[in-house]
Amino acid sequence: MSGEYLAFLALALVAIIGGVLMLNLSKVVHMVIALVFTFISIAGLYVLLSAEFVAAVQVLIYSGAITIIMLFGIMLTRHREEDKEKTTTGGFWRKALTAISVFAFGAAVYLGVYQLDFGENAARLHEKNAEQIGTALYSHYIIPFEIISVILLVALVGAIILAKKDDGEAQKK
Amino acid sequence: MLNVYVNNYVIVFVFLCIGVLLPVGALAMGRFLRPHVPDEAKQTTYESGNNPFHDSRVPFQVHYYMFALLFVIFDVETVFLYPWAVAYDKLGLFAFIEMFIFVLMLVLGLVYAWKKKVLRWM
Amino acid sequence: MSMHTLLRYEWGVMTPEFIIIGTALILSLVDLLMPDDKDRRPLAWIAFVGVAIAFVATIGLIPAETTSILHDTFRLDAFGKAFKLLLLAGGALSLLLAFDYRPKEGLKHRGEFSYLMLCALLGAMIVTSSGDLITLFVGLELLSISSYILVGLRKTSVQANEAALKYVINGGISTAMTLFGMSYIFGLTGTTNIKEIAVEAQKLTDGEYQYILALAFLLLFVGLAFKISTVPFHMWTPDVYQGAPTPVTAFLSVVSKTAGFAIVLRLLITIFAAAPARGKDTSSMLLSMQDYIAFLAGATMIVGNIVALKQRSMKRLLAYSSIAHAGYVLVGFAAMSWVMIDSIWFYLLAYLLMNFGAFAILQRMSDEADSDDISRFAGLYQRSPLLAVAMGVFLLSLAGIPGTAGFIAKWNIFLGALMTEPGHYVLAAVMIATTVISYVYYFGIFVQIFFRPAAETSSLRLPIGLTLIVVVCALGTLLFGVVPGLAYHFLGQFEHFGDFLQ
Repeated sequence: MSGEYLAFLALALVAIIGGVLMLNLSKVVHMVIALVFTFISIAGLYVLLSAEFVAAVQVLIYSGAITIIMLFGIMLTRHREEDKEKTTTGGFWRKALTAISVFAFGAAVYLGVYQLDFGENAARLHEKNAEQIGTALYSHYIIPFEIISVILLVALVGAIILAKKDDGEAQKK
Repeated sequence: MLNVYVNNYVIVFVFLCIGVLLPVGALAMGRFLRPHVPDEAKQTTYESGNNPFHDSRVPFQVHYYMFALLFVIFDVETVFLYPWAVAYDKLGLFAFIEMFIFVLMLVLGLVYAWKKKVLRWM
Repeated sequence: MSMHTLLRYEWGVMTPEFIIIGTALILSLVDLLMPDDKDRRPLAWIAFVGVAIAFVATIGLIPAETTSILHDTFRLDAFGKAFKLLLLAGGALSLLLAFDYRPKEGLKHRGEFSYLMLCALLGAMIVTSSGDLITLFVGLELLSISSYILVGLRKTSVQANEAALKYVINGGISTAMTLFGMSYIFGLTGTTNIKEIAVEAQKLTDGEYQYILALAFLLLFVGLAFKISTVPFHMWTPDVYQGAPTPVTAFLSVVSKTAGFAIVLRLLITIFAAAPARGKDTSSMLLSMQDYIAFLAGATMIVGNIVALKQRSMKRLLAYSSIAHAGYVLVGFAAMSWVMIDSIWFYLLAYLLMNFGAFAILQRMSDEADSDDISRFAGLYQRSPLLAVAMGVFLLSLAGIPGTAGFIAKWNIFLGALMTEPGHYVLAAVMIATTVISYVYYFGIFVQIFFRPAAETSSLRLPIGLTLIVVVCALGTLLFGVVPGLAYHFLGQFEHFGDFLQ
């Protein structure tokens, strides 16, 4: 058992526990913190895979920006009333069926990967990781890169349209 | 080479442990050393000398949410700028033009936000 | 890479895309610079003209040879050209619908409406003409994100908010599945170029790798089922179609679906057609997965047609009918005959014509009273005989009655299912049975139009954009129903689209 394996086990465990806690905790702020644990341990997994840049991005975007968005969402809405009553949808059979299908899918994937050998690991990925990504992105994947700028523009316009109060509404207040 | 990379992260891990243990240790020490005599006045929330009234968690204006959303989008943009800057030496003029187009699109978005009066504080 | 190498690529083959993105940018600038109180409806016309120019440009590109830019991240081949024509036609018609869209509560963001739709169209076009997983995914995301926003544009309507939320969540799950499948494919083959993936996949003779590849196939197929709204990812369709503005509904049901089929065909055929497998056909994973696809196609047809029987809302009815139609198209894919892509293309063409016509009339009827209940159509024949006849043509075509394009399309899919050796008799039987079921609800609308008394007697007038759509679609439906040879002659120059494998 190597150190890497141990690190993987610890990080994977934290990621899964974070996800489960996120679903089961009852206070929203606690949920966000559980989610941050998941995000950070996933960043750790990226580091294990020699993808330093992606790990940094994971911390920057997910643990940073996405978490802030969620906290804003919490700040902007009321939660005290909802905390009290716990409602669930669907009967026993529906839940059982969902659980069975989730476990079946997990088992199917696990069966496929647990003895899978992908051959030699790439040994040079960690050297100048960001530069390697930069060269690939800006000489090979130019077209998707430019489309991403359109996506970001669309996302920005969409965010403004959907989240901004219209002038008429604002005046009524 | 891979060993060096992994070992570097062992150091990161050690620092992480120290970082977590230091405040935990310090607070635990404090708990053992200080006297513990609670009374009601001590346990109220400290609000700069004023008496606290109603709940501290009031809903904020929806307006601020826009800033968070814009922040995320421009945060994603910086992610693309970084590898570009690092690899710029190897890429040459065309990379500059690409990034120029990319930034131009986002400037257009910024102008849009400005025109729609999203950037106005309050 | 130097400037010189990049300029050597034939960027001219991307002209339609450049026109669309240019129009979108110009529109956004015009929208920003216009005074706030000006009417923004003419912007839809500018967008329409842009799409029309792009359409002409695409036709001009038909003689062009198969071209690849930057290692297939963009790729113009016969498949891309043919599907891009469908997408552009659909986009142009949705913009015309948007021009005449007059909901009761008014539409605040008319300018944004036009250029978001253009961006969605751009995403769809990228999806049809790329040979690289990354570009395909990015194009798909552009299409999805723009559609999420378009669906939620009517901010004051509760239905629209519900629709947008459901669409985002379902879309997120399906994207995650697609990406999960793609990651396995990338892990197995080490490249994102789908032709190289196909070459690498052929070398996977080990059973364990084949298992993972089969898993990747199912994940991809299920994830992409969201875009074409087939079982198991069909549940969002009725709610989203009902809540979205009518032009967006039409856009989703035609353009988004066509793009979905384009990516399904290109990815699954290219990657899996020659990959070895353990199933019934050891030489091709695609063929050994045929039964699963056939099962999903059958389930889609049955679910779509049976649930449609109970619908009172026209938009929900058309949503279920669109699920059913996706099922018919999937039959064409499951049969895997050599005319597969031709018959799917023709089906999507016929579907475009009849669906846009039906939606144009539906939009006119529902804007009037802010309700899309089926009884809105009562007495349409007395109010406007011409419109009633046009709607009748679209309904006949949707039902697949001889003399209309819908019939020829269905007939070709049906023949394709029987043509292979061994034939897919069960699938063909299910197709016939569900088509017969579909007559019930299509003729329910018929009864309303022709035999029920009208609630209002005022005569109906169609605005110019809608008139244009109805006339074009009705003529097209009849023309391709009577002389389908026209479309097949046009398709003949693509020689069965074999070139996306080369």
